Amino acid sequence: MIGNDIVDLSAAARESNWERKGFLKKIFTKDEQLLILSSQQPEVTLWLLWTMKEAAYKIYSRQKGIRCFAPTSLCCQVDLTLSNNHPHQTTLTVAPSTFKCKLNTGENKYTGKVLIGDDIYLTESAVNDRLIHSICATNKADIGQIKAGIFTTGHPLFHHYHQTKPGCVSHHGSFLALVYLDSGSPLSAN
Amino acid sequence: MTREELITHLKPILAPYTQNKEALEAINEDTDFIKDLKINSANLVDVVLDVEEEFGIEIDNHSMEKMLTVSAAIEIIETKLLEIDR
Repeated sequence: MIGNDIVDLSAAARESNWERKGFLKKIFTKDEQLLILSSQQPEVTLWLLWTMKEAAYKIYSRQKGIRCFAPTSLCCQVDLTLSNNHPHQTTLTVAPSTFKCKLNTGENKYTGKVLIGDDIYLTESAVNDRLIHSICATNKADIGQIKAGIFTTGHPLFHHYHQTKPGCVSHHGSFLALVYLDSGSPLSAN
Repeated sequence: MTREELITHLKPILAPYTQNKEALEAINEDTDFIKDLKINSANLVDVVLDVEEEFGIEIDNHSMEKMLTVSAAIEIIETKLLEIDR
C-alpha cells in the first residue's frame, strides 16, 4: 500500500493561518513544534511534516479501516539535511500543453519516517517554492518503486485519473498528485 | 441548547472552510466535514479552534479525533458544555 499528499504552498498560505493560537498544538507533537519553530522556514517545515502525516494516515486508515483526526498521534521523524542523492521519480506536468519538466530542478528532497503506534511508515518528500509533495510506503522496496506525477489545474487527468488506477490521490490548490506502484501508470506512456 | 440550535451555530463556523456550499445549505446531523462539505483537512483544525471560541470550551485531542461529522461535533460540544455546568 502506498500513500501521498501534496500541499500547494500559495493555497495553504491563503487557507490557513498557522500562527493562529492553538493551531500548531492541535496538529504537532512538542518535538515537531520545536523543529518547525527553530527551522529557517517554519511554514515550509510545517507543511512538510503535515504532508508526511497525511501520506502515512492515508495508508494507515485504509489498512486498519479507521477514520479519525488525530494528527498529534502521528509522529514525524525527518532529516532536514538534504538528501538529493535519492530523488523519487516525480514529474510535474503543466496543462494543457505537453510541456513536461522534471520536478528536480531547484527542489529539495527529504527522507523521513512517521510513527503511528508501533507502525512505521517511510516517507520521501520533495519541496520547491510552489509545492511540497510527500510519498509514503510501509517498506523500502515499495517506496523505491513509487512513480509520482503532479498535474496542474486544467490537465485532462484532473477529471479522468480514476481510469489510471492510482495507488493514492492527493489534491490541493492547483495541484493533483498521483502515485503508482506498478508500471501501468500513465506516467510511463510519455 | 437543542441539537438543532447547535447546528444553527455550527453552520456559520463551517461556512468559510466549506468548498461545497450546496452541502452546507443541506446541513444535517449526518453531514461529513470532509466527504460532504469538502473541507480541507488542515482547516479541520480551524473548525475545532472556532468551535472552542464560539462555545467557550476546550476540545482535547482525544475528542478532536472523532470530530469529522456534524453529529460527532454536537456530541462533543454537548459533553464539554455539561462539564462546564458541573
